[in-house]
Amino acid sequence: MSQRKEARPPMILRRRTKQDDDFPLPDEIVLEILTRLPMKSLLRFRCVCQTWYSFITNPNFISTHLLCYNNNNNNNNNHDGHGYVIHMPRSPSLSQICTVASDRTFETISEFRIPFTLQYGYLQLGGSCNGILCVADYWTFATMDVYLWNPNIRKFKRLPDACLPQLPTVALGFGHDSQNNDYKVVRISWIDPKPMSPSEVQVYSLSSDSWKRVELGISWMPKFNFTLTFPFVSGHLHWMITKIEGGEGGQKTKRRCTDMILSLDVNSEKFKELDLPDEEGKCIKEGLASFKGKLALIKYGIGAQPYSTLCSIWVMTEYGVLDSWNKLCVLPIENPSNFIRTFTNYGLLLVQKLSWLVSTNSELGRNHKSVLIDPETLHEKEISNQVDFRLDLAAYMESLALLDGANVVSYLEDGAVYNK
Amino acid sequence: MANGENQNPNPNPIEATPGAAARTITLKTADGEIFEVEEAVAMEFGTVKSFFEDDAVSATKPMPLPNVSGSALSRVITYCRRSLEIRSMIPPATSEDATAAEAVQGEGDLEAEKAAKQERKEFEAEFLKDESNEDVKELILAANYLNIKELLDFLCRSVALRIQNKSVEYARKFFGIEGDYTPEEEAQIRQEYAWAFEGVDED
Repeated sequence: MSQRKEARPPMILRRRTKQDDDFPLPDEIVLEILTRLPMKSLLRFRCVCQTWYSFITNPNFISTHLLCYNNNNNNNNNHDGHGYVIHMPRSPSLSQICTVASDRTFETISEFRIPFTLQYGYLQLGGSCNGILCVADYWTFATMDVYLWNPNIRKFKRLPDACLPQLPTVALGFGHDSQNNDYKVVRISWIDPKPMSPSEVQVYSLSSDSWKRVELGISWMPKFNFTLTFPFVSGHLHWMITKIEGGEGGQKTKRRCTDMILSLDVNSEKFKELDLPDEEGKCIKEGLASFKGKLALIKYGIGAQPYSTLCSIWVMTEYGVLDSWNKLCVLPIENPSNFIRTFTNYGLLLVQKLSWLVSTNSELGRNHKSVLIDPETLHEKEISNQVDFRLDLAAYMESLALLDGANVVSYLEDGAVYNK
Repeated sequence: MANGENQNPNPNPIEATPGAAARTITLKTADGEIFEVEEAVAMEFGTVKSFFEDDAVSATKPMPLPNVSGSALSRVITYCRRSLEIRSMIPPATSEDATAAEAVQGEGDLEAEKAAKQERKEFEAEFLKDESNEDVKELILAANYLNIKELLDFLCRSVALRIQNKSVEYARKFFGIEGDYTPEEEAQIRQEYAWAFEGVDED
């Protein structure tokens, strides 16, 4: 391959003038290149010049970068065709380390140390969205500190206290308002799990840095969701409730309780009720999840044979259309202590099979297996890497989100905090 | 690749694809080189495709490419040819999304796709191995002008790979940018993410 140009003199930094061999790249191309750079490079290149600074801190760029960089078909990561999960320890005495792993092989890719001091003793992962983790630090449901944390750019923010913080929190949800490029945290709290007990919903918005109470206008009780997450699907956060109607008029009027899904539009902060799919048979427990971007319901029910459990997975194929609930599959559960964790980005179900073996010398040993099941083919694949069932899991991606903002704290590797 | 590098006005650089009657399109670069390119390859160039979609234009006259040099076009043609070959390894009616395709295809198709992916990886790794930064930039400008999306994606990815672990100075040199922050301003920006400046390649 012959070079057609003569050897060039050493490059001198000077303002570019029009020359034959001058190659300024147009802005659109510079942006295409920037969207393919990892976070660390982008944080560094903010000081290349003022134009690059404004490119990199632009919220539209941050969203585009998020999509492009995490799209495995067009980036330089070597991990072909998989996403990430992040493992979060539930108790700081267990560990202060979060690990990011491949969601196909569960091989550890990186580790992050939790940068904020945990006051209360337990961590709850509220959600993971666009590379930001919503994490709560709580103790016996009494009080709770909520943090938004982007481990990749080493920034976190402690949320201001919610209204009536002394009400115990039931659950926490986290979503992205794409219309306003804002992040919202939803907190459900209640006094105690007695029927007709008052429950509260509050919504926090990052752009206003404040909480707001939301009235639902119905009488309801939160329903236990065994997946412990509020799936964020189609711009809505979801959780299960029992709606309570009637019962005020004395003995003649009966109280009617209906189980349903409540969906919160994170943009308008308005609620909708969604019906659960109709199915005969006793339900032992159920949970909501997100399957390939769609709302899914995982139900444990009693099987035909005695002592057998079936797990059916339903997917709402068209969002908001109640007729579109479709039973994706039925999984026989050999062992009730099998533990369904979550769906990965590519729709594989992570199941942990906990079994106890009595070995030859009569010692009781644990044999925990983790498998990935494809609900569409029921094909099962065992994962060789250990997935600790005591850790919370969430889908995860890398992004620059939370770059700027009020009260966002930067920290260094050793935990020292940098204040602007 | 030696195709088209000579000044012969009638080169015949077509690698015989068995059985195919190759229609060619003639292209003329900024430095006067003439290239005869198989139609399938030339149609990868968005600019050329729209030029010839206009019926009034005769396919025999050379199409001028005033913004592209001979050496750049030669490399571009090499890339597009190989890219077409690799794509033909995958049976038709395949969606471009690898994950959707996996769910739908049979075992044989999956194998073919895997092999194609591997070929592409190896080819792309080799293609720019000995190119200088200036040559890569020239290729980017050519791919941009000729409107070849796949090549442009590949080149942008490659540049990102080249610069991702480099210093701020290196990035300025590469893009021909003069820094316009005062030393104090720059120091403050650096300090905010000081850890991002660690472990960077020496210039």
